[in-house]
Amino acid sequence: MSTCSSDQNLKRARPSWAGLGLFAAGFLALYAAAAVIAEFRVARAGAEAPFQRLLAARGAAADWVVLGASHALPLDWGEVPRRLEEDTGQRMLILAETGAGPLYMRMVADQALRDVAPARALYVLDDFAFFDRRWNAGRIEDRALLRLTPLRASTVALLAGAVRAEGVDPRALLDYLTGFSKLNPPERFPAQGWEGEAAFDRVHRPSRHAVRARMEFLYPDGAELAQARPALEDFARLLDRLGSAGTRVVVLRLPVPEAFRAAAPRPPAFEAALSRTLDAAGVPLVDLSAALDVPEFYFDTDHLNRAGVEALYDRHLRELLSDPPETEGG
Amino acid sequence: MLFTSLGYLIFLPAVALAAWALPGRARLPVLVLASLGFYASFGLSHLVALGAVAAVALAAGRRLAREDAARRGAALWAGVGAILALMWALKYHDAAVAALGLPLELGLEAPPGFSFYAFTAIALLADRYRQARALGATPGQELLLLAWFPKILAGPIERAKPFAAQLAQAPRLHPALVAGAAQLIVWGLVKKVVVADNLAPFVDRAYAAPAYAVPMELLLATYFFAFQIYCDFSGYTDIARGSSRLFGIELNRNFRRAYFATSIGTFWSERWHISLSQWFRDYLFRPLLGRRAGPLRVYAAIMVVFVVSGVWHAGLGYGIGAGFVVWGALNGIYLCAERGLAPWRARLAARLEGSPWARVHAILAAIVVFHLVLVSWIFFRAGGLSDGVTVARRIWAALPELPGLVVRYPFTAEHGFLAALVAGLLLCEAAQESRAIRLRLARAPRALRWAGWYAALFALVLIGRWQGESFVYMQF
Repeated sequence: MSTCSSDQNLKRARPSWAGLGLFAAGFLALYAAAAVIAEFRVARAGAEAPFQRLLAARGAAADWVVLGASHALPLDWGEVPRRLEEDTGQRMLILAETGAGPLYMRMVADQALRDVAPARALYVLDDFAFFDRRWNAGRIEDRALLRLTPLRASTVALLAGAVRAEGVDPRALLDYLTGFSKLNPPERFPAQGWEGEAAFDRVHRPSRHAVRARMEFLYPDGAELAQARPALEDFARLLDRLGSAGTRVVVLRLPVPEAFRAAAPRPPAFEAALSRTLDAAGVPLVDLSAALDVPEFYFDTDHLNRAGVEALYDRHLRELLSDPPETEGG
Repeated sequence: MLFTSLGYLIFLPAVALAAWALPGRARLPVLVLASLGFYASFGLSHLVALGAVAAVALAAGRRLAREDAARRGAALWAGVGAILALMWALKYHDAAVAALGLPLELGLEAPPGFSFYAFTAIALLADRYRQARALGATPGQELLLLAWFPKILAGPIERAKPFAAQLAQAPRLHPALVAGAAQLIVWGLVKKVVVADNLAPFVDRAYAAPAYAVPMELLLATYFFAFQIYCDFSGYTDIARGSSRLFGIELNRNFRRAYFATSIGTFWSERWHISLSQWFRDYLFRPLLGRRAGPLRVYAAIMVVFVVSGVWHAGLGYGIGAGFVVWGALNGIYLCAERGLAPWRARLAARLEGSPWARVHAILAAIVVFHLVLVSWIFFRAGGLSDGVTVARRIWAALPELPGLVVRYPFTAEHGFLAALVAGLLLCEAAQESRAIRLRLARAPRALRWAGWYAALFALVLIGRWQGESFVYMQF
């Protein structure tokens, strides 16, 4: 009896074209269901990445949005938005992302204009983010960030634009559309990631070796003006886009330790080009990079710790954010 | 265009559609062109090396095909010599002159899979020498034999006669062919991106600085490497076989659940990289033995074959060094020792035959063989001989403390995940050992059958590590 049943199964098991099609359709349906669940979890998971934050804040106007790379993140961990709201009633949304240069931030700013129509934008300038593709197109292609980018038609349009015009790998768009990285996280066991928030309350012991290693990481191919030109153009477009939407922009250099400042390559040609870009957009640059030269204010080679953020807010930021400069800062 | 890339996912069905849609006489040119295009995707310049090997094989082969031609031996040796000289230039020359401190570097580098088509070409010439016209392959078929894209990067090393015989037939496209091909590809991908590529970062971390790694991590990394290299290579082979089957061309099996081997002899001859073992047997071992070989000559030939195999591996991969030679020599010594112990082993097997202890004996034998191979893998994976010695010494020193350490060692989620992958693989392989899972599933009801394949596909989607890791043996 069992042999007979098994033989019948074997006969039925002979594949047909229809059976293969049905199997493939079944897989696609299961994949779509899994992708929807993953998408739902990413959208609900909170506020790890800028696009998640924007989705969560959609519809609520923001007085300030903060753009930039990792130097801006301590403002969030140090609760600057909460203090600003308590002190001035202004609502701030931090949209910075580790290692994100002007190209990635241009996408974030575009999405922010649609979602929260910010009155002002504070762009925290990290020079390194201008000098390498990995901090720009590379971040858009980064599966770790795609995993945290909720699927939205407006973001699809932005990403498609980046693929079309900015040389972003089309596979990033495909990944985003299929939700693949949300189903298959690229960093299953992140062993040696940036500690960031977990180290925020620590005090860093200055180390030349650490600064040198950090520079090698941030500027893998040096810092020549030619390398920065594409990002400078993206930066100009970003400023123009925000300006034409009526968003007032302030560009800010946050404090970094002296050892880091001294080691950072800041080519005069880049500085001049940056100044020209800012002048053309009528955007002021506030340079606070030397404002806190005490090692106790940093949790690593170049990021403010809690004490540093509090000191910065009390001494500079509150005033700056309450009454931002119109055209020039310093 | 790696097998695990999006490009291949598009390339393979596109070429298959073209090959099946076009008339029969266009099939061979299409397959040759697709193969050249595939190989060129790794670098246009690689076609030069492939072209050189193909030119030598075809030119010398034409002469060898004429049975009446004078000096056929000279033609054979000229062809084989030219291929070996090219292999020397691409794989070994720069490393050798650098080791000797001579300023004679050529600046050449072997393209991916060079050894595999070079070995295929040598086999082609040797077979042509032995069989002349009886070999039956046309120049176009011989070119495809060398360049056939599913196997060009890491084999299996095919022989001309059966390969050409398949090309001469007119295959028929049917759903079972496509389903069978897809099943092989999926299972190969599971081995590669789910098992091998997840194990690789752990192994790389531990072996990066063995002098500073925790001995337990070195031990685990060595175990994991055994499964990484197995799944990397056998996964590649399954994908290659599946891809080729999609065109109605069957490639040889290269692996048969290697770690279930109960002797070193069967490990090499029937379970691990079978096509290379057969190549060495036919084109090195047997010629070395000659017509009447005494025991000493057999042992010497075994050692020569394994040391040559080690030298072949030493060209690239995990560094250049004597570690690969030690790996080869160790396996040669194992095989010689096994051969020496054969009468006792046979007597023990005869005594246990039919008793329940026979199964226990087989399991113990498999465990011993696996661990012997594991020791040799240390020298294969380490960055050099001194690193290999360091790994072996540190593991050996920690062994007495191991039972206590296992209980109190702070195992992480990563350890658990990787161990679960290995356990899952072993379970599947153990089930396959009695009957292929594919056949088991074929006899199961459709829901169960489909659930099995959906599970494999979702393993790829959810826990596959799709980060473009190349295949280890591509480097050879």
